[in-house]
Amino acid sequence: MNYSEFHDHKWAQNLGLAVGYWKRAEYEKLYRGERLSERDVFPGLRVMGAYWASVEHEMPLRLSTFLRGAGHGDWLAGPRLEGDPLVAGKASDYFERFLADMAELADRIGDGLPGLVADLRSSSVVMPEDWASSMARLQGDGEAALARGEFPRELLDGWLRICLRSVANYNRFLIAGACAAAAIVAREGAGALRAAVDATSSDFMWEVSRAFFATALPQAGFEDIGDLMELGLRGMYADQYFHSEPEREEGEATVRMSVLENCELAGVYAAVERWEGLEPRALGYAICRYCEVHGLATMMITLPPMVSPSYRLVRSLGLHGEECRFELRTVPADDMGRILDVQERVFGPAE
Amino acid sequence: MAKIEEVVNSLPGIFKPEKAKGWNRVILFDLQGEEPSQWTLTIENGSCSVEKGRSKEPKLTIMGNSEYVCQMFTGETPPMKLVNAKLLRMKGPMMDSIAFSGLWNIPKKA
Repeated sequence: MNYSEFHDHKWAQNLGLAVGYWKRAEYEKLYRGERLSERDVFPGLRVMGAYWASVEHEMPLRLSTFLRGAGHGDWLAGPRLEGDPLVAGKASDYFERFLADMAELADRIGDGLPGLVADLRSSSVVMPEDWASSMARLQGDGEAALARGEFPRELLDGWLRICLRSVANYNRFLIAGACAAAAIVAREGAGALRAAVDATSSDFMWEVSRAFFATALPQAGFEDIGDLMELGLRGMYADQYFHSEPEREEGEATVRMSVLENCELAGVYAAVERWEGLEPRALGYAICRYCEVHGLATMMITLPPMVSPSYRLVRSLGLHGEECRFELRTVPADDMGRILDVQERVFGPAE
Repeated sequence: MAKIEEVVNSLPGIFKPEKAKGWNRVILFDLQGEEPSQWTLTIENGSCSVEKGRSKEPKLTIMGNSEYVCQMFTGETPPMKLVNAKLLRMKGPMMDSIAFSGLWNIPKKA
């Protein structure tokens, strides 16, 4: 295994579970998900597919934002960072290592997964233009099959294929980002990495929100608030182990700590740090600061106007080598101004 | 159990106009369940009014059983719990759904 199984390959656990539900004919659980324990959920095919498609939109944005901040937007030339051949070569090599992990894990699961991963490796992992219509078709077929009390194997394979391709493409961009960050630290120093992130984090905060809430999720059929809440509650279990600590009151504030036990990004960056001979966590700022602003924007978008939120990263795998702890603090407020502001920033002016 | 007409007509009384500054919307309740009915709620310039039926084109539509709308506005069940359980669905711009939840002085049940 080239990358950490705990951090980078939870997708395999979920796809293995999916095959298990299918073999036991537990089709509702397969499609709609199931809570497994206090700290883990099987998200179900519908949520998992949409989650992977939305984060697949995020990763190219992280890469282009970071390179723009670093003054190396030209590295993005071509689909494989051809603007800098050395970085492109490493990104390609390290991505092959990820695909090798996928094949190893698929072999372990068996039940048709090895063939699907082999097909993936011999074809393109790039997000197709018609991804949204393909997902809509699978959703329609999924609902119709459940109504008949069945779930054909080819329908399961359709869902597994889109998840596998998204996992691979997401990690292709994630690995490219790690290689770019490593090159900048090696050539220009740690300060250049921090400056690139600081110059772009506030832009990223809203750009990623537009990519998620105004583009990817509506296209994936997740537009009404109930669907979005479901995705928020279950989607991240597609690649994470996560729990919230009990809320506590501090004066008029309510404080909730979210604990992310693993991190796909930190796992990939740790592997690239190791392979590039960098100190552990030398690249962490390039992931954790973007996560912090992404989380803040999500809270500003999704929390009702009776509260005013603040959000901060307390500890993280990428920066401290410890599980990520994000603190959400809300105070009672008349925060309709925030709702109107984020409406305009993310969705454009209200009609 | 409160009846839907009584509950919907009580909305102007529990409306918090200070929370709706700059937020003018037409909202349709399209209800099934115990009392199938439609109600049009208009929020405009800090005031709230209700009409029976679908009298205007809505920006946001709230769908579900009438009894769940009663539970929401009488404080029996938190709105997010009803939405998460998909007992009520809100069709329309995501931010409108979020803003809507903050406009009401809903009684707190112990």
